Amino acid sequence: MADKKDDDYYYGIPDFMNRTSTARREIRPTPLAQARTHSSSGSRSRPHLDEMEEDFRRSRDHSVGGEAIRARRSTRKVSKSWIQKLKEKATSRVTIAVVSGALGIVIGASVMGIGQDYAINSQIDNLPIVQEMSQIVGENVHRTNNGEGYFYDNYEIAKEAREKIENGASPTVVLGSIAERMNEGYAQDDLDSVVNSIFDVRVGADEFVRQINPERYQDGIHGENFMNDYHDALKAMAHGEKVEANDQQMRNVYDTNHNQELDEMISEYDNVYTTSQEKGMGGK
Amino acid sequence: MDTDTIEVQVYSFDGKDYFLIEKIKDYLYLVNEKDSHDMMIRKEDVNDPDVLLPLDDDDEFEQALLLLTRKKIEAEE
Repeated sequence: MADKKDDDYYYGIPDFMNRTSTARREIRPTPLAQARTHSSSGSRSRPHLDEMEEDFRRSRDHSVGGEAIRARRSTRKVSKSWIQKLKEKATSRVTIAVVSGALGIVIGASVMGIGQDYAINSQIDNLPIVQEMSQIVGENVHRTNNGEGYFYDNYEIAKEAREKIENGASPTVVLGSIAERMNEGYAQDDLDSVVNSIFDVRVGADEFVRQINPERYQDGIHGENFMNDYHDALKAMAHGEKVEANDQQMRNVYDTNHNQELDEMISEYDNVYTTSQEKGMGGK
Repeated sequence: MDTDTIEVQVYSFDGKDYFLIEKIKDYLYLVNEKDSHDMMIRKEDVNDPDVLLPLDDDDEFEQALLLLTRKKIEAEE
């Protein structure tokens, strides 16, 4: 499944280690080049974390508690583009904070649109895996050294997600909860990096799920079908039922790739050891 | 009506005009006309549309924020 194209991660590492994901893990700090930096250009700018926190705090202070406000209502005609820009500026900082988990807000089931039933949504929100995955992403958003922006620690997110899967967590739920927080509009490249690292592939998140189920996941990881399957998986867990979805296929890929890596390491060790033994016995 | 313009609801108080940029359920998302950093979320009073009720607590604030986020994500998809 892995795409064997060149990878510029492999510098200064012995050849046999380059064939294993252990090497990639060792040299995989999140580069500053991938950091989200503040830009004044357009709606895709990445706000300074301090500004994000300040906006969040101010909005909260003006919204919660206190007295009711009696306002004078009116209507006004404004330019469509102007109001759209105002809306984008006002909402982008706080929604980026929510999506990235930078401010520790858990995306609950009611917002995921899983259902209108308060009871099931509450059960879903209380699932340990939901809270743990929210924490994994939220705690691995960091400010850049120069304080200009923020970035995901993809290595840590992938590492912790792998541990969840190794301990029996549903790959669908793990992937879905990461994808829900690493929105395609802001963090697709981070998501691709995380998925590649979890499953030891090089195809990115969308292509990975397509390969798992070509008929159903044509629209990729943020497509309706995968997200619905992820939400159904959460509902199943909340009801104490077994998660079906495409968990087994994903687990097969995970096991195959990670066992293959281990086999290669063992094989390389055997080659080196056997050669050494032969030389020791008088071989040329 | 000029197709490049749109009519928006304005709430005026404390000497400022706040534009209604979004309404989800009974949550009103208001932003200061002159300062995009000045945004608030209030609840509509069904008995008196001129009254903006405060949110009960931080949980409700986060919930309203999450609803806005979800709508924004859906709009971008």
